[in-house]
Amino acid sequence: MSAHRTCHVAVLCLVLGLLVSQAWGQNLSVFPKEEILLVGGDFRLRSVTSNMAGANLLGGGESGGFPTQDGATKAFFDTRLRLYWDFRPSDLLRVHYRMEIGDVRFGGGTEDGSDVTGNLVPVIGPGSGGGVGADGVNVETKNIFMEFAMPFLQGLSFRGGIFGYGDRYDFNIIADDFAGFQLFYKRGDVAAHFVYLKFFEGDTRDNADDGQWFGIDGQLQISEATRAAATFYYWLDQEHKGTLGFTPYQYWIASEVTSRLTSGLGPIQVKGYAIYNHGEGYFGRRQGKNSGVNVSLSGDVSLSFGTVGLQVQYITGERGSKLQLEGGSKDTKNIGAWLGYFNRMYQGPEIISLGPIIDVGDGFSSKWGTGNGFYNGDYNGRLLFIARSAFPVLPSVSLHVVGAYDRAAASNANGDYSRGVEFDLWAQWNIYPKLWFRFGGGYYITGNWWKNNSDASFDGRRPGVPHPDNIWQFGTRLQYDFG
Amino acid sequence: MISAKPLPPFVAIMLVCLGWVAWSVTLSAGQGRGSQISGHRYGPTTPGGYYVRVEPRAVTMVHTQRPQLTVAIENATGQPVEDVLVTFIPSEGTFTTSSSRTRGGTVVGTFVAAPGSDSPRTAFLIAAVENVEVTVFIDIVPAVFGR
Repeated sequence: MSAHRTCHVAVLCLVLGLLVSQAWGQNLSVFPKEEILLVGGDFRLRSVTSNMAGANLLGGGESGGFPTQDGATKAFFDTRLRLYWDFRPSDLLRVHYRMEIGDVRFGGGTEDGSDVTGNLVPVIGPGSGGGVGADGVNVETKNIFMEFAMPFLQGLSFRGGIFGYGDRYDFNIIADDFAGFQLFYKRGDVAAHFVYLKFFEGDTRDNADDGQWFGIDGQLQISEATRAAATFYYWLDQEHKGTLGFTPYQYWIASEVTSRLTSGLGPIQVKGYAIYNHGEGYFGRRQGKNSGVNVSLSGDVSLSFGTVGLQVQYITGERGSKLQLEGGSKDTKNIGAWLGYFNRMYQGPEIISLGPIIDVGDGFSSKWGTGNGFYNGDYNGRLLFIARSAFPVLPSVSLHVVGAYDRAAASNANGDYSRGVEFDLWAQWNIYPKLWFRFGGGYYITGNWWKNNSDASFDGRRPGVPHPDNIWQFGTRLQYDFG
Repeated sequence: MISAKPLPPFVAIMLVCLGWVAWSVTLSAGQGRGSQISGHRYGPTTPGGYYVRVEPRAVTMVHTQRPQLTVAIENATGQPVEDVLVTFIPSEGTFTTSSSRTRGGTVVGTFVAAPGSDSPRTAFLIAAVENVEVTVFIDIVPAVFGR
């Protein structure tokens, strides 16, 4: 019996053993609520105006972004509808289906798109429906999964199918939709889950080309106002074995502490985490090993007139460029860079993290960045100082101000560290319950790190511009959440 | 020079599964014995001498969901105590209860996040009984990034 078959048998036996043991005492009556079907979703109208350059298809199409020189302004509207159906025959079981129509750009009926790898997907049929005549081919399945609680061990539940999954570390490691399984355990002060995600299934008769992700995460309430959590992720990247001659892998060991402190000003929520990453053959792009650390500490205080928060984050990096580190002079060397799968860093700034105004896409916060998995920081790492605040100026209107200092932890190929400074100002108007309008913008003063930097170009390999413009982006989002 | 190799896949799977089992069984073993709800009990409060449990202590939700939380008040012997005032302070949104005093030893309420904010964040809810305050951290995540 091959090692791969042994692997499958071992996993199957273990999972079956776990399930059977939990079901041992099962004594379910008929499901009492066969008719229950919940419907919900959200509808979004959005506008984006920016001088940010859109990357080409290798960089993720319009979802990528970087500074350019004397570049043209882009502006567009788009719309999106997400609907979900939750079939709940019992409190113990649900079947979930989530679909999406979008993001349909106004007037954009026939442009090509890009798939999950950033490759060109030619338009088919009548297009996405944003053009004259509409009637687009634009319905996507976002999630389908089944979830049920298992008797015998109270608090144990299972989820399987296609679902969204994100880490607890500001989505620094992983966040997207995946096909896989999850086992949850939640009882009392303890919550834990095991997750298995299948990234890529090559030849179904041989798993030598599969991409797989394993994770275990647990949290414990250790006192009245403090919780601690720990996570282990392991990415077995056999998908890229063929390009390297060995099996690439990465793992992450992480820990987080969240606590509520009291002060004379008001309660302070403190959150700190540290993540160690080690691996070899990152994404099949380089031969050598990588090791790094990502640490973050934040505190947000609730005042009588609003909320004010600070965050500092340090991500270790390696000096140089992608050209040198992937297939270049440093391709086989061990490097000191912290890397994620594809992260969607979220800390408040609109442009340099997953921003709150226009949501996912069309910014540095794109998961594709300049063509790899890290937001334009590439292998150079990051030092971030973020100040954020929210003020309720009217019962239905809040004002948000954010500032961020962005610096590379290691220099680029030109010896530059300074990436820039960002300022954001936006407001939210809650028009009706669940109907809200968010508008505002961000301005990013680009530092020397972007000058002549090949990491800041269409494909992350061509020379960058010598005098990059400062970046600005203005957006509006009208959204109705229902269900 | 020692060359590090990736863990064989079945070893990795076994490790995480066994770790998960050990984690969940070990930590849940001593919790909630003799109580209406599980979890550590905090107290005694002053001056009433009550003990407080809150469940669930871990909440992950989409901003449109409305999770229910239960606070149980008991005496030193674990018996439920009636008519004890429980105060709730959410960091955002609202927490509504049918009664602010215990009925059957518990107060049950529903948390609603601040309207119109689907941004990922961690909110908290303080359940206060006399001088004891228990915090529940509520992870609000985008609908597609559930954990």
